[in-house]
Parts: sequence; structure tokens; C-alpha cells
Amino acid sequence: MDLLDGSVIALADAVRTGKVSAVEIARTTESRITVRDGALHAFLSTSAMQDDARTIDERRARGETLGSLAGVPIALKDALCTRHAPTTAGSKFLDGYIPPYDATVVSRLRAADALLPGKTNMDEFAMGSSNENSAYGPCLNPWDETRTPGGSSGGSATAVAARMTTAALGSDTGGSIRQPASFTGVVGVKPTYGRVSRYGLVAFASSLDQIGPLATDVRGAARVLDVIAGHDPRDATSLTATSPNFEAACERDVRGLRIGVPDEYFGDGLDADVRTSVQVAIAALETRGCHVERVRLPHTRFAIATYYVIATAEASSNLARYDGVRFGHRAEATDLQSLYGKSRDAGFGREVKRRILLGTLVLSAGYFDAYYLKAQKVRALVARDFDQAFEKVDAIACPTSGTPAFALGERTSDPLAMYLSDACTLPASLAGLPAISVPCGPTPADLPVGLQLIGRAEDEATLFALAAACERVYPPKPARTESA
Amino acid sequence: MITRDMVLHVAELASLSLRDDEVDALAKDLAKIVEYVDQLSAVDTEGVVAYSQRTETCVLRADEPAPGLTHEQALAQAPRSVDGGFAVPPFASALVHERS
Repeated sequence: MDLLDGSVIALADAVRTGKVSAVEIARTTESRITVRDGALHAFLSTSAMQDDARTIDERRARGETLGSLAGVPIALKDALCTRHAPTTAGSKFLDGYIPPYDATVVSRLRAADALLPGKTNMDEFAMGSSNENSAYGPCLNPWDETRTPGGSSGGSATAVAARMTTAALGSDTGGSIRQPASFTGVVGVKPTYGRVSRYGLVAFASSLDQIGPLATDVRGAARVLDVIAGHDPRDATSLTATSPNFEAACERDVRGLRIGVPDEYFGDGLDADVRTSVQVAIAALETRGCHVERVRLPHTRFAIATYYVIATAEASSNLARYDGVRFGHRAEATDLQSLYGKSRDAGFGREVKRRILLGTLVLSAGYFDAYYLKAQKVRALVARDFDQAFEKVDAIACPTSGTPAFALGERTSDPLAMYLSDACTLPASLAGLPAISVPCGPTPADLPVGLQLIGRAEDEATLFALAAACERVYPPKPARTESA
Repeated sequence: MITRDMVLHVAELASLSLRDDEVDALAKDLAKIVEYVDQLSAVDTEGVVAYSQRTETCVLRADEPAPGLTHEQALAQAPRSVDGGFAVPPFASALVHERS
């Protein structure tokens, strides 16, 4: 069925008008995952969709109005709690864990009549930039199976890129939606901090974590965000402001919008092919009537150090809940303290331990002021850079990643080299700003490249308009897959 | 400088029993990362107010009783439970011993 190669909007329209049944979409999605995912490993678990699909079709037959995502398959990063279905967060610690409740975003997708095909592969507890920290084995990039799909939402990105699903949810703490979207040629949106409720998201770093959509196209991502956005009494940090209609924003005229291009994102570390692709995409926006000008974001170079202090500190605190007593892995021990210690040692992978140790260190007596407090102050300066730039421009355009997808194993032996992968995505995360990665021209070797658009807080709408304009130049393209 | 003893101390704070063969490798990794983050000390932050998160005020829901998880649901995922509670190894005697 060609429909699965298309967009969220086309699929939902086809279901609502009866051109295709939800049952047929469920069946096709299930068989695609069976055929394509053997090699790619985007899914950690799958769910039968037939019952939900049948209900949708019956309701349509009775003349009921269906939700805006009726019959659209949407995969879920395995960090999102799903009632009655396994949720591992890519960790052995949560092997076999079945949450007793749905995350708010999952409830909202169900209420909009989406189909939920399964849970996607990820770096353990979302800590990683290549999916290679998954305790269940890495997911591969469908454009080139010797390369990573990025991380940590690599499974969600691959599932969309290989058209095993039309959209997916990911979570982004320092780039975990945008970088994999860029590596796999799909659209990925990190909304403003607080735009989407995190109730039921396995927490990594709470001042940074945000849930967002990945989709085959910009309007599809916008429609999914329209469904999941909005205040939730169960997440005290969720914004109370009403969200504008993001799907409608995709049709907005971009003429006259001012786009800032920061010098700091185009330095020596930038891959030459990525530089060219991104510059051509920015020039394309200029020919569509945008004004392009240079901006300065001088504290960009401190973002990685700032992020890895703050994110690990928060992670060390958030991951204290994994004690082997109430849920998850439990090691045999004769006293309580060794029960905690041994359960955690056996349940956590190497990168998670590294980050817990670093986070505990920077919060400990004698180090707190020099590291954690200092990082919070530098974070304020990173945010101030953006505030100043947004006095002059409406959005910032830059690469999503300094390189195209890198090879599996290339950065696993050096944690610091892996951290440096996130240089382009971390600043917007630190400042709590919305950002979109939208595909632009591929490299000469046909690897996807992402243009990153960063906006003012709560102004995703401008980003959707610009991303949609970019997409008119670079239409969505499915990844080559070895098997049909 | 991150020493082996520092790693063991921090691991204890984090309730993480590291296997002996993990400690040296982690010390080496942490040393490299800490050396990298040390660049923050060069940033002039005189008079800068520390940033915690963009939403400065959390909006708490009304403090009204509402049904939550049932007792059975809360215990369903426990690796071990006894008499309607989470089962853990004895620890009270250790506490008494510590105090005396």
C-alpha cells in the first residue's frame, strides 16, 4: 500500500473518508515491520493493532466523527510509559517492566484515534547520540546500515525513515529528536520546554527533557504536536498557555521573516558537505522572501561542557529511583545497601554509570560551586545570547549536526567524542527553545542532512512555516531499504 | 585529578557497587570529561543569576484527593513482595547497630 509511504495527513484523510480502512493500515504496518525491521532493529516491542483498528472502522461506519490522527500509525520511543505494554527505556534495569498507566502523550494519541504499532529502540535512559548504548543492541540507519541513525531517539527516526510508521514520538534532552531526524532524513521537532506534558516519560534531565514528534513531513509533525501539546495538571512544568494551531502555521507566508545565521555553528568542525547543504537551504529560504543576516551566539562553545554538567547532575538524581525494590532489576543481597548497589551495578550499562558518577561528583561537597552552580550561570549566558539574537531575527538557521550519520563503532570508545556530536543541538536545549530539524539536500554520497531552525520560546509556529517552505524545495523521501 | 578512591567515594554516594574491573576505566573516562568541563571556569559569570529552567513557576494542580494506583497495581511490578508490602533484606538491626 502506497499510503504508508505518504504523510500523516493523507493517511488520516483516507481513513476518515473511507478510502482505506484502519484495519488494512494496521495489517500493512505490521507486515512492513516484520519484513523491514529484522535488519534495522528500530522496534524493541510491537503491539497488535487490529482491535483498535476495528473499533475505528466501526465508529466510522456508524457515522461518528473520528480523531485527527484516525488510523495513523505512530510509534513510541520506549521511554514513554504504555499501560499493559513493556517499557524498558533501552535498559536491562527495566527488562520486563509493565507500567500500570499511560503517559499523557500516549493517552492523547489514543484519544485522537492513532494506531500504536510499538515501542522504539533508544540509547539506555536516552543517554547517547548513536543508539549504540541500547542494552538491546543498536538500531541501524536505513540509508546505510553501516551507520548509526543517531540517538537517542534512533529507533523512532529509523521507523519513520524506513516508512514502517508514518510518525513517531521521541524525547529530546540535548538533541535526541533532532539529531536522529537529521541522520535519517525525517522531520523532528523539539518543542519549547513545557509545551508537552512529560507525565509518564522516563525522566533523564528534568530541566531539559521534552517530548516531540518525528514524521515523514512537516505538516504531519505539526498535526501530531497539535494533539500532544497543552497543559497537563500532572506535569507542573507544562505550559498553561494555549497552543496555536501548528498545522495551520505550516501554510503561513514566510516572506519578510528574518533569519539569523550564527557564525559559531559554521566553524572548522563542520563537515564540508553539511556546510554546503545547509547554506544552499538557507539561500533557498532567502529566494522565498526571507531576510538572512549574520548573528552572534558567543557562548555556544561552552554549551557542551554546560550541558554535561547539568544533565548528568539531574540524571544522577532522577535515576536514584532505580533501587531494585519497587520495580525493575533486583540483585540478590543480604543487606539493603548492597541490594541497591548490586541491583544498580547489574542493571545499568557503562554510559549510564559514567553519567551517574559524573552527576554525583558535580553535586558533591567541594565540587558543587565550581561545576554545577557555574554551569547554571553559563547556561544563563547561553540563553541570553539567544534573547539578544531574537531582538533582531525571527528564527535562527544552522546545521542540526556537524556531520552526516557516522559509522557504527566510530565514537563508542571515546565518550567525549560522542558528547561532541551534540554541539549544534545543545544550545537550544539549554535555553528551553523550540527547534526543528528538516531535511535539506543530501550529501554527494546520498546521506541525509538536516537544517535546524531554532525559534523564540513558544514560537514553534514560525518554525513550522519555515520548515514547510524548506520542504517545498526538498520533498520528503523514504530511505532506501534492502527489502521491500 | 580523578583518582580511583574518588570514583569509589562517588559511587558510594550514588549507591552503585562497581565491580573492581570497572573502576579504573571509569576513573580514566571521568578524568577526561572533567578536564573538558573545566573550561567553564574561564567564563566570566560575575553577577549572573543561575538558570534553572525556562518555566520559572511551576503550576501545581489543586490539592484534592483523587483515586491513584490501587495497592495491587503498586505492588504488581515489585521483584518481591510480602504481606502487601515491598520485601527487602533486613536492615533495622544494622541501623540499631550503627547507633549504639
